[in-house]
Amino acid sequence: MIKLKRTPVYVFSVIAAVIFLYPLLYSFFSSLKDNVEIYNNSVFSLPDVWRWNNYKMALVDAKISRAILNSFIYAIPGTFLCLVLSLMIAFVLSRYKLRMNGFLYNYFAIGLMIPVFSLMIPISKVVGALHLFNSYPLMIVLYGVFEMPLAIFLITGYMKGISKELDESAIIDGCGPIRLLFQIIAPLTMPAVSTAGILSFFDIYNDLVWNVILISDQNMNNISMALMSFVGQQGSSQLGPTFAGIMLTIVPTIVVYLLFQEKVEKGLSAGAVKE
Amino acid sequence: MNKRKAYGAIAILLLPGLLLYTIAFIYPAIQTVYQSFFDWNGIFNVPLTFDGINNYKEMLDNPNFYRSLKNVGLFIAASFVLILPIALSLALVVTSRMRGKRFFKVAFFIPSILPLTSVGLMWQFLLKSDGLVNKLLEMFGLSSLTHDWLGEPALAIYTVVVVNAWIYCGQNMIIFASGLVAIPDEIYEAASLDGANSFHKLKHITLPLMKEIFKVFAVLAVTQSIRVFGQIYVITGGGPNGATDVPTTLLYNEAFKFNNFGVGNSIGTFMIVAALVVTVLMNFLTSSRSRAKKKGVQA
Repeated sequence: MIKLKRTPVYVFSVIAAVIFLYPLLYSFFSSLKDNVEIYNNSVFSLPDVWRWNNYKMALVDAKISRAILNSFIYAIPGTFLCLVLSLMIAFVLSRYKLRMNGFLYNYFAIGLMIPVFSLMIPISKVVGALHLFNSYPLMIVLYGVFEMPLAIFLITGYMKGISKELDESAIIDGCGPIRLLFQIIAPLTMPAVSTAGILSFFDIYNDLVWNVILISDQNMNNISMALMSFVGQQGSSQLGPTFAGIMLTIVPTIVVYLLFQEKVEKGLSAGAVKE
Repeated sequence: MNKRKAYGAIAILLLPGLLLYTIAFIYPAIQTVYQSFFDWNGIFNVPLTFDGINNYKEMLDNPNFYRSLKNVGLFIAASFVLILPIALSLALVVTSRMRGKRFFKVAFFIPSILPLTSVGLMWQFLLKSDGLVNKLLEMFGLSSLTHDWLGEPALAIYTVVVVNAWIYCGQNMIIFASGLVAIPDEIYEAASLDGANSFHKLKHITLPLMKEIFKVFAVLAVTQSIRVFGQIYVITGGGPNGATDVPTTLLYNEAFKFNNFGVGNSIGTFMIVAALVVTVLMNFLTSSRSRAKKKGVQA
């Protein structure tokens, strides 16, 4: 550890913290003001009257409450699907010496490299031809699959480090491969699974592109879409409720981060390998 | 283990994921390449018509395509001249012994976990001619520096690049911090005994030992820049006049705005090939160098 000189480091840190946090704080105060106040007030002033009504407008008129629920409806089962499938594949890749293992690993690694946006035209074409627009199950499966390559990468790496002696004694005790995976190996792989899970959750929860092209029913919009269309309708005519909408979509993410701080940070540095 | 039984189990474990991944990921990727040689207007029961390499010609004739490549170049450049030094400095701060470092870590990191759409829209409002940024400039007597940050074609892409740095510095800080923590304290202590000051330690211990992390950062910077989408789509939509277009927004606009699905697919193919080439090339470069280093150690 390098010893840094105290005062300059504090000055630097405080300036940096202001640059990173102040825009959010300003948006929060703006979310409680009306247009007149936003335009006329100094940039550091508190609201004259705290207009919590702006939040009611965002929740009800912009359907942000519904959108937050939708984002969870996509993200929780999508993450679960991704993790179960990835665990099964990682188990094969790390436990069985098959001739096709190398090929399989590279086959899934392609998913780490190919930008998922390049798939939007063929996917929208197939989904359109099958009349599957506006389907929760379809979205959940797609999201789950798109998160698989990274999860497989993280979980296989971790699973390889778990002693194979465990398997042998379990098999001698008459434990089949599937029970072995889910009852013995999977719990031991939890650190990697939860890292992959957090990453997938954030990715799906915040998705923009798939919601744009595959969902047209407003009641199925996730947070990104609901916010985009709310801002599109309001423009600058109602800045307060717009900022309220922005704050509402930001808060659940911050809560999840603060709850799982260590996992999120570990996840992002591990996820770096993907992007 | 009974061989036949094991094969059954392998099939049960492997097939569902393999099948879904092939259908939802690999098949569309192949279709992107295949359909890039066809014309299609986006109506589902109208068949594709073979069009040779015309989509590629159209892609290469579009001046916005070159601008989109230049813009990706700007994102890559900004990763090295803007994000890298800031993120590394932040990482040095949060891994130091200073008081309050936990608070600072959270503060620096928060932007990179927020929904891209939400912070994108937030910045859209803060950067308007009557938004926060210009108000601050006026307050500090810098009215001459105020701009329509997202409305001026020559300026807009730089504005978005800086907002992008605001978003991702924290994430890169975490990556650098994980590298810094891995350097054993004993090395620094030994250096102190030899009379090294902080700058010497940074130059001769920290930076050399962070080599692997810098490689990760480099791969990240390039591949992440190729896939930039949300930032542009939300903040400027590629405007004004295509000034902030990147390949992904170009693909989206060609296909879903102008119904040029063929050209969209040729841009998609270009992105797939570029991403594969860059990843393979960078893996090759970084692994051959570390192989050479290992050899050097043995010799």
